Amino acid sequence: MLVDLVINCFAGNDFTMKVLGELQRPHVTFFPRVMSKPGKVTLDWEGAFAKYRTLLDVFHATPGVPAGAELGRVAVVGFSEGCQGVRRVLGLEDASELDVVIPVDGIHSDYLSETAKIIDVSLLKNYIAYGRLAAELPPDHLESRILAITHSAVQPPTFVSTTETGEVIWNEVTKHVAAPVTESLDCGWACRPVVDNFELDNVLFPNGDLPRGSDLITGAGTPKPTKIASITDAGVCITREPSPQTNFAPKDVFCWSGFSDGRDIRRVANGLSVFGWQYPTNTRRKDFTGNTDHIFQGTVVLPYMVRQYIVRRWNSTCGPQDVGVRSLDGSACTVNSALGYGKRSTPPAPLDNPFPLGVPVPSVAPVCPLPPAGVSILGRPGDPCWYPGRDAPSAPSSNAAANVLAGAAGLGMGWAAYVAWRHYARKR
Amino acid sequence: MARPRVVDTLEFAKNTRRTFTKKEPTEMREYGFSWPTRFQHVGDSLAVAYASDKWKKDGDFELYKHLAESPNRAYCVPRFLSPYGGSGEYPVYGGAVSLEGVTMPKHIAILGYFEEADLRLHVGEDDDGPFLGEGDEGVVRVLIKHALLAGGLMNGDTPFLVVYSEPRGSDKGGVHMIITGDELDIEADGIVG
Repeated sequence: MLVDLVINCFAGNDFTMKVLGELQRPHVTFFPRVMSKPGKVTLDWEGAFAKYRTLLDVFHATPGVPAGAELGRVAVVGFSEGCQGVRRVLGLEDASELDVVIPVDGIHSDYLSETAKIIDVSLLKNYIAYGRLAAELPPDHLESRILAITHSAVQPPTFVSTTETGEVIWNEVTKHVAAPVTESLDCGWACRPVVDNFELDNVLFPNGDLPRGSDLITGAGTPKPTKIASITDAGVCITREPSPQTNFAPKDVFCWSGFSDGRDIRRVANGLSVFGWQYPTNTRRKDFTGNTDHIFQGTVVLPYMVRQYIVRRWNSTCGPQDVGVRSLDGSACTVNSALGYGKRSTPPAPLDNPFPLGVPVPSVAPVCPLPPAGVSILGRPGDPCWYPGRDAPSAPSSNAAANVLAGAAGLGMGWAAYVAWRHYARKR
Repeated sequence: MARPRVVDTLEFAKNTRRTFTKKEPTEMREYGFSWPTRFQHVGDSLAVAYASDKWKKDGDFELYKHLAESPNRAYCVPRFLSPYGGSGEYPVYGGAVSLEGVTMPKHIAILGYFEEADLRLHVGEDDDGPFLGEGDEGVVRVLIKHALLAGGLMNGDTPFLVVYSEPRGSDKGGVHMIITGDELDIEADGIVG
């Protein structure tokens, strides 16, 4: 019997587990046992996987695996610091067999130079290596892989933000990938990333998962269930209580109207997706402290990413599908494209070192405030974001992936405006 | 102005004292002061030094210094810091924070005699708020006579440090400073994070 495996790093909230319960084929979930480092408060994700060399080792150590079961498809998901666990899994000796990798708002790195914003990419090389594999093939190709990264605009005090690492991974993957990146406008409306975007854009709150008047709770059935959010007409509403983590910012409530409320960064290259949430505020965050932005990522974005990129990929699909932009006659049930462990044309192997000639020292553009619609932020001479005049681009963007996503998004932001914004953003 | 909500944390205080000192708590004292309503976020705490007889026989004190391993924020009661040997207030940047709505502990665990705190004070303020300096700019050593260092639990799940003094003569004592950090904790090894 084939049994699929989901490795869950700090991503086991109730909603996500409920979504994983929608998987049709038998599956097991592995929760790494993470301890504090000796004498430290940080968790030891390296140690949590130290005794596992391969995904097969992890599978056989997972509770609930039936006797004689064979490993099927493998996914790893992580939230926040759990992304350190995802990185560790990508370092296993057969990491090429991973089918889906979903790190949510937790890929960080260190600065080699904080003032020059030079990022240590060695901590990102596993993600970059797997990203290159994911970017080689369209998601509906039989041997495709998925790396779907999401991030908020939270800015950590001393280390590299998830926004910056998302950009570095994207740049390092797309400039080195061997095959051309085909998920552009050329791929047409029916290509998988466009469908994924469309479906995610149609996740609005309240909905059947999160009905009006209900509470989003995690830890149900335990002695300490925790209320995460209230579902109202305004959407998913998360309350920020005053706490040291937010420098005692006064109590406030922040609501998200849908999955894509703020999903402003949309980069897709075949099986690689980088989605970033940001808002037209000074901090780019909905909650200036970032506290509830991060919670939204872990408790709402994560389960919907799991449904879109694991459940829908792994489950059979039957009958006609109509997602508004295409209509396919799927009269027979089909198993989606994902291949099980050891079934690819290449044998299980560790990921390639993406930097055999040495680690580059990329730097990222300064983070500049988003101009509200119709407004250009000029700043002052000397500001890192200063731009000496109102932006009036005439040439369309050459960023194909950005183009297709603007078209796919249909967010009420006109095509020209989107291209103009990309151009504006890039010029600074 | 609303005060913080104060809740019973006797078990936390006893457990912390037991773990930290490796001794059974034997005494509980009650003070007449309460939690201040407002603090000023003056900067980061780089280190806190204290004398404790933890893990040793009573009275065998040793000096310890906890070096912050992650960002530790320092909050002082307004107009608390003054120049050494001088008078008046030490110029400090940083906004006031209110503890309104914050759950504060009724019981705290004494960790030791406060020796000194090394703070990196904000050195200025702009549109984005107060900012820290480069290198050792704004780094000061804070001394408080007869103060104690204790540990408490905020919002039911967030450990923090508190520097306070007991009433002495005309001095009513009270809370002078609290230190928080996302990774700050009080364990058998000492203060961590």
